[in-house]
Amino acid sequence: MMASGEREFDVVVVGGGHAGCEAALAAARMGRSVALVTLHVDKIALMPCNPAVGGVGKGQLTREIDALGGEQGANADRTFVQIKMLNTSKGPAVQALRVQADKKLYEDWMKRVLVGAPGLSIVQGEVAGVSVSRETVEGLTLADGRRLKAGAVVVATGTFMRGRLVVGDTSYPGGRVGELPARSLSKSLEEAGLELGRFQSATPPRVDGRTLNREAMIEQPGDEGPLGFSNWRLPDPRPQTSCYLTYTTSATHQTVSDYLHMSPIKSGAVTSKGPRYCPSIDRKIISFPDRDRHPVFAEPEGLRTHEVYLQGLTTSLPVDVQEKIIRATPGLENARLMRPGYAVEYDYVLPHQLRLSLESKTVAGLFCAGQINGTSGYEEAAAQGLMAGINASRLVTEEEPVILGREEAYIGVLLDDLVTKQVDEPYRMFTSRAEYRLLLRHDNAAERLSPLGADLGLISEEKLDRVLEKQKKVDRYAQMLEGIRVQPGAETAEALETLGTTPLSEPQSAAQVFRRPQVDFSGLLTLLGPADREALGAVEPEVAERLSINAQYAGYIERQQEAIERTRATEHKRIPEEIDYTLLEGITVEARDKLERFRPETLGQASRIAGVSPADVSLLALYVHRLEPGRESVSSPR
Amino acid sequence: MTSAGRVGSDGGRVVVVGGGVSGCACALGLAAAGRSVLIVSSSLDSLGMPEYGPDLFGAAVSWREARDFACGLYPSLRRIWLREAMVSDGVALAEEEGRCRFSVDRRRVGLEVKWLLENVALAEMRQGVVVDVRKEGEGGREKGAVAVETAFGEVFAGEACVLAVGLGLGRTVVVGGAEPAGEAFGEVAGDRLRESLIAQGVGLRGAVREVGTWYSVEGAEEEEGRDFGRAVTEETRTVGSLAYKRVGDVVGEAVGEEAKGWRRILEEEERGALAEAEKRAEGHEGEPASPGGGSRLCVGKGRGEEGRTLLPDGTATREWYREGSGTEGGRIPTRPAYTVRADVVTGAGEGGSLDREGRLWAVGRVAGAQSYAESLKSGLFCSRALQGSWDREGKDLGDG
Repeated sequence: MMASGEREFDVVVVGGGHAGCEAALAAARMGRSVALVTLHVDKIALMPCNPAVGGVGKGQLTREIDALGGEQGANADRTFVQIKMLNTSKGPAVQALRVQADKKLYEDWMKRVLVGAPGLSIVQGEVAGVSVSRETVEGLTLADGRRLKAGAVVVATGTFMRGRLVVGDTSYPGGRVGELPARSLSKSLEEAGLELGRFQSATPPRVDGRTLNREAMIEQPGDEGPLGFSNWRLPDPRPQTSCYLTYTTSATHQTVSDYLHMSPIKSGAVTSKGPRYCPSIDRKIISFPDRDRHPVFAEPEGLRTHEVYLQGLTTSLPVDVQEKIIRATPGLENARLMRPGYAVEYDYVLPHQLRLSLESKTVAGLFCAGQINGTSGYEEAAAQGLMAGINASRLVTEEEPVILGREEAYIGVLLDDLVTKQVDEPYRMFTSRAEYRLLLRHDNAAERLSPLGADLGLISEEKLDRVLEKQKKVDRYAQMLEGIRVQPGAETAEALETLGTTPLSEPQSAAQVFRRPQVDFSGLLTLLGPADREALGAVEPEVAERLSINAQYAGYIERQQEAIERTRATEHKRIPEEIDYTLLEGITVEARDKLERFRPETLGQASRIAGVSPADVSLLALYVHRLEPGRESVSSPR
Repeated sequence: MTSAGRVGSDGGRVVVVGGGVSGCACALGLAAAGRSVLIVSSSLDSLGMPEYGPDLFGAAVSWREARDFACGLYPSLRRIWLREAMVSDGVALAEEEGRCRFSVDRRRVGLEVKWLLENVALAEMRQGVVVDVRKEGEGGREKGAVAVETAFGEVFAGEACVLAVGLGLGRTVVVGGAEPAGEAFGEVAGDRLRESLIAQGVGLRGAVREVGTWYSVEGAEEEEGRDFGRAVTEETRTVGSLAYKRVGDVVGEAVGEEAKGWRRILEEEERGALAEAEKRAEGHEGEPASPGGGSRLCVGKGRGEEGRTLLPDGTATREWYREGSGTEGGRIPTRPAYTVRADVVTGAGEGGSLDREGRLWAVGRVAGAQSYAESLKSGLFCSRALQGSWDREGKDLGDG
């Protein structure tokens, strides 16, 4: 019988959501034998909330996942029904892609990729517990008695751990509607010494798209493109479907207010923290009483369904109240409810118990990724899954974990924030969380990260060559622009005026002229002689875009790079793992407590812990310096 | 409750509890006959999706049986189950002379059946976990003869309620001899609903269903020399090189006279289906492709250890399904064989009626059906019995 059989894998991943899929694929692609354990194979890569991937901050994560060899970007490209570049009128640091995916196709394609990945076994079953011996993970046991041995385990169970679904004053155990929660895993993790907290998330109602009055709403079409997340293949062009925008009115708000006492967040049925940046309509009415309207986006859930997701109307009020709220909103007066919104409360792992590699500080080989770490969003989940999969794989082969710095990637920012800062509500990525966001753009994700992806074996050499080739081209053309002189004169003055900028007083290099914000690449060409124009006319759009960003933001980019250089020494200075903070004199009691609790891995991390002042960090730096081998005796041989 | 008490103008709404194979068939039948119908399903994500493997009949059947079954279905359902979602049609087995197995793409069935129901004017669907079904007399809490309540406190009233909850009542799952605590594989068991039915005087008895094993075929090449590996690899290549065959061709090659009636049925629909496919292609040119590739129709069959048939589970996956437990070439199953234990109703009358007033009905596995084919028949038969008068011409919705 299978139940008695014990199987051995390098890496076992628990959960088949967005984190679990990336973790399992990464480890398998790095050559490990991998099992992905899921409660239900038919629910792999389900998008239980919105039908979108990407967005500002999140889109950068998806690009980085793709650049490192993850799957989310490519899968979104295969299955989108709308794609849009956001913030095109703003600077490059905040531009990002967002797609609306066909949910069913998204699942199908991801499952197809998983089932086809060599070395990856999918195992349907419920995890009863993680086996830990001498503070090291050994594998796990399924509820049906099967045992899986593993060198590393990645737990990516999303909202399923002791999940409880809440609407109004009703609630019952569940991971998602109609699905069971993971019941015993929480206990097992607690027994292994992990501290768990309780978070809450919620999803809005879905309505029948044919009952919407789209005339009363504002159409939000996609961009023509060609656009896509993946750096490796442009998605096939396709006709796109639109989203529709409407706004709540005072009537909507009145309805919410009338029934607010029945809201689980008001009545106390839900006490845990929900995502502040994705608030329910109940929360919005409480927090912003003066706002007279909030946007509501009607997003299609797929091509082969009429179901529409009401972004902005998240609520867990009683279902009949939900219908009243929906119908008080323009365009939705006759909307027919198909799925009520609901809240889910679940256990999460307090992420300060994890290292930057996402490995537990107390249980070797146990990694946690995704919503279980207190984040929200498919992109945040996938990014963690990818890193946990990479590092679980490297643990098995006894290699150092891969840690991305805050200056290298949004993924680095995400992991650093998670393990260093007190996460007191579900964490969501924003561009404002990154200090160096002008460097961490979505358009340069491949240059930043694909060399690492190739080192890890997740990106083929051929793909990496393409990235390097593009970089070479950018350098070559940039040099060319330095060498081209633009002469002042009537013709040039006229061309510059057409572009909306002032004439030249003396000759300048093309590179200098290009720094003017009014001069885009095609504009620049009009200033050049025929030979130069021809030489530069063949530049690919993406190379031209890069040249333009590099020219126009040169000053800012340099300054950010200088800032990185200045802090590099402290930022990555490692703190010995066995450091005893009681011996560190002169720091505040609070700083000592916090350092003891978070046990930062680097001075950079220590400096970002709330309650640890720059003075504390200076003392810590001195102390760490003294602790270094060979420091005790001044006259160490060398 | 705003949605409760809404009664159809044409004789009252029927509430179908459960959106599986039989529930969807029943709802379609009722809507076709002019009744308004509400399906309450615990998960709209898996509405209409068959759960227990891809085998339509659950066994090898003769072509005559298959043809008779096909004739009894609505063209719209027939098109989905026997054409659009079929991955392995009429695999005639050597040791079962002239008998065949039909393997469907379960996800495709779900997607297409849901889409069909969404487009039927008189049918509505709603996500909710039903915890209570009660018959109500005059002055009841809600207007209507039957009230159905969900875990979130919604109440839906109707003239009649059809139970199509499959093996959900008091469901437990046994995997490999061990019984995990409570139910398993993600599905919520209808424990509260079971209590409610007992209180209503509905007779229940225990039932058992053995579910087979799923395997993934990827990497099968490495296991050459093993029966499982070889057989499946061959078939996969057939799929991989896009050597898809139309249903009619296969049937023509595979069998003689018996298949002809079957073939005619499908050919009649061929024109309609092709026309629709062309129409769809025009409207959605370049829409994101399903991972199954261009054609959904392909032939696939593997032969596992002990000569058991391996049926493809769909074109968008590389999973294959086999009856029974055990292992294939030492391979780890993606889904292990398991046994479902659940209660089913006893004493159902004609069409699945559970009472004389015709308010409570049961269809599908909860009424004793043993295969998807039986569930489909049961759902449709109930809709006829419920309607009382069955239009033999079969007004169809999907074509309309």
